[in-house]
Amino acid sequence: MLRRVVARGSKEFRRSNSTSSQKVWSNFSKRSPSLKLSNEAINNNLFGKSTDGPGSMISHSRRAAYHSPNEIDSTFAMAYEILEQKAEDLYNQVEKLEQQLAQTKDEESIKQLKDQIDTLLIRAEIQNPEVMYNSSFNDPDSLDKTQPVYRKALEQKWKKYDLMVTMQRLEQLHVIPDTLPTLEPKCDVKIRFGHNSDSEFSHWIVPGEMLPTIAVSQPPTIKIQEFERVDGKNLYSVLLVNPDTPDLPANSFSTTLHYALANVPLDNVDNTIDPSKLLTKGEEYTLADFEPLVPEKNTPTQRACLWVFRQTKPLDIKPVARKHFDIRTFVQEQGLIPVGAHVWRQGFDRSVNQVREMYGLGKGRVFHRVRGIEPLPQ
Amino acid sequence: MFKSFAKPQSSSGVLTFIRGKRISATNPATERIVQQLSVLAAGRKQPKLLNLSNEDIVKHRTIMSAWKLFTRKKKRAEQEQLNQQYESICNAMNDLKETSPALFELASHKEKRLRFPLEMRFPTEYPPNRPWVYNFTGPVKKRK
Amino acid sequence: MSKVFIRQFSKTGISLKPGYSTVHPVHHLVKVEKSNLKPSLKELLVPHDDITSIKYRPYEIDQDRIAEHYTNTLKSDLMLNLYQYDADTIPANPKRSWGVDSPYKLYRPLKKPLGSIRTRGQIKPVTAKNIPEITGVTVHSYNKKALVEPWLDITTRLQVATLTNVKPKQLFAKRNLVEFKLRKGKPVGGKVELTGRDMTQFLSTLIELVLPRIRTFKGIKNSSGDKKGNITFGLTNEDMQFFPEIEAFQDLYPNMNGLHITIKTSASNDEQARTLLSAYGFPFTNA
Repeated sequence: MLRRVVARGSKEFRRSNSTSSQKVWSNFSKRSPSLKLSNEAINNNLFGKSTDGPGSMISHSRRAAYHSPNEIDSTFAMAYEILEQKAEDLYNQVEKLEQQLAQTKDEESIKQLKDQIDTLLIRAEIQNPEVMYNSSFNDPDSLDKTQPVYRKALEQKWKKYDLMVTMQRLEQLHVIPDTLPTLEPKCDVKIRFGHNSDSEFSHWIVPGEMLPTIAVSQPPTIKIQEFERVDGKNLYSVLLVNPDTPDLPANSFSTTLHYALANVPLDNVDNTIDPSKLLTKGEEYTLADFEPLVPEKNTPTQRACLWVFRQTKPLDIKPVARKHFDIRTFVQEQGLIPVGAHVWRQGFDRSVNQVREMYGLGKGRVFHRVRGIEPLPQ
Repeated sequence: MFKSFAKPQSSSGVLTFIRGKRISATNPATERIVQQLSVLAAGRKQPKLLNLSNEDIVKHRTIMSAWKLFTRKKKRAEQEQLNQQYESICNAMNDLKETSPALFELASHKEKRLRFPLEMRFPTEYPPNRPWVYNFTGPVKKRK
Repeated sequence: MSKVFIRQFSKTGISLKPGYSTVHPVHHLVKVEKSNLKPSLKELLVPHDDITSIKYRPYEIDQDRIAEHYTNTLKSDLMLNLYQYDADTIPANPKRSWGVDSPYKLYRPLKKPLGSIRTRGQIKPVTAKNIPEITGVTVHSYNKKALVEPWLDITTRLQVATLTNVKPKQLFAKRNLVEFKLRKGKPVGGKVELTGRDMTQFLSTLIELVLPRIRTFKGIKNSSGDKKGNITFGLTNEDMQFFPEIEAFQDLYPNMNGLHITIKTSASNDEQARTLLSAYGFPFTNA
């Protein structure tokens, strides 16, 4: 039976974009054009329109030497038909739900309906070969984050690697529970310091990395990628704290606030807090200006813990005391929900004095190399 | 891993040492066992990974997900049919109990050792020379 | 030793204190898979059913005639034949407690099940959802001679691999028995667990080619079984020559060894399992 259908499929199967009676996966009147595979050569090879070999292979000689498995095109045609039929059924369900949505007024049920639609849309598109190609082989930054299916793919990728690195470093470096008791990560937080021209420090920072002070002397670009649907804009706050500031009278350490942003509106697509945004609207968002960590000589390595929160309400912009900052009370009072975190580490290095001068922080103390219990001169 | 050193060979009373010469397995029986062991070992016998182009990987995944969908539907239909059959068995027995208790007794009688006939065969790709035995009587039972 | 982390400005570090060692608590709810973070394991972590995995192996490559016959014909026949009007679930027959009235009875090994030596699970009536099916086949070859001639172990395993198309697991002698020259831990043969295609291939060879040609084979004993629906029977080393994999190359296999074949079914008792096997064409006998 299979063979017969395959033979039939191979002759009839030619996907076209011009006819009016289009099936759902080739109909872009309602679906976003970002669900299309934009590369013409790859698209042609995928749907058997060309015989030039795989378009993903740039080298001509490799392409000429490559042989696809036998009968893959005709079998693919049949598989495509089956899956497209399923997708069509799912889109019909979506249409019904959308009609229901138009009549609903209650906010809670609107949210529920939208969630249902999103899951259906994911199911309808996740097996679409074009979407599959885009999400597995294209640059993740170029994916359209308004589409639930791409967000799902990104989330899966994030959970497999980036999330695990982050959580491992947060736990190993005792960022939790030293700053906040725990973290249930909801979004991917990435940071980079754009002012660095040196390629060693201009990339996205891996959590837990040791960085020289000059490389972190300007406010970072923070990317907060939400995977859940954001209706309108969410408000976010960012806190950068250093729980390793020496506290000599107590023979201990205290937490210092180094940077605080609040009321930053972000959504799935507009997800970056970068210098251009800060230059135009920085005043509105900033609770405490950026002040880099400047570890003094012979102090232990210091952790720069960056926390990202979802806000339940807009915050009042008023100055916050930097020294002896109690992050737990602050978070509780302001009703912030931690959704992501990042950490990097710093020690004393030769650029510290220069950065201190830049920010007018005076000369740093120099501690004895061997720490002892004798009281230190104040 | 390393070649075993050859034993010094003596020819015409002078010992000659050939560095790195492999000593062959002396015994044909031993050789056979070594060969058998190498057949069992999986190393180097793995087929090579198929180096597919990105398009073909996507095509393959699409085919596999369609095949999964197809088999799932088929299995669901089979289960549905079995459910209906079971239901009708139950209904028939209930009917029989009300209409004819004697027949019901007969129908609910269970053989102690329920066996399928040995003549039953798995179907093959081509039918046998005699596709159907019309006057089949079953195995002759010995009576004591 | 227990680790205590001291965090003072004058002194930081781990100090060891005598006492029980403690596992440090984890403060987050995400399970960190360390293997995901190792670049060297990247290839191995691809799911095995993905074609880019180095462990990928296509398995549905041809028609499975045995499995198809089971689903198309045997399944409904078995359901009809095993149907019982108004049948109830027969409860399990587990090992029994000695009672709790004496402290001596508390840690005593449990009493044997009622009226039997072996335990039995509960027997549910057969419906459309639990029709008995063959779930696996274990082929087990224990070569006693390998205790004296160690190379026979290799031959035995190769023979099992040839018959089943699966690499066998090594079997070891489990205990010392001086009179049989048996030393614990000696390799004595191999076994394989077959499922899916390999299983149906092996079954069809057995049913259609091997068993009908063994003259001495009367059938599987009606008393065979472990009370839980798994039937075992044996083949002697003379019977091995009828396997087509070996038949043509008999001079390559001068030292054949017999097999124990256990057919594992999802039936809840042996009688149902025998009915199922008879549907597959296995003969049964009282002898």
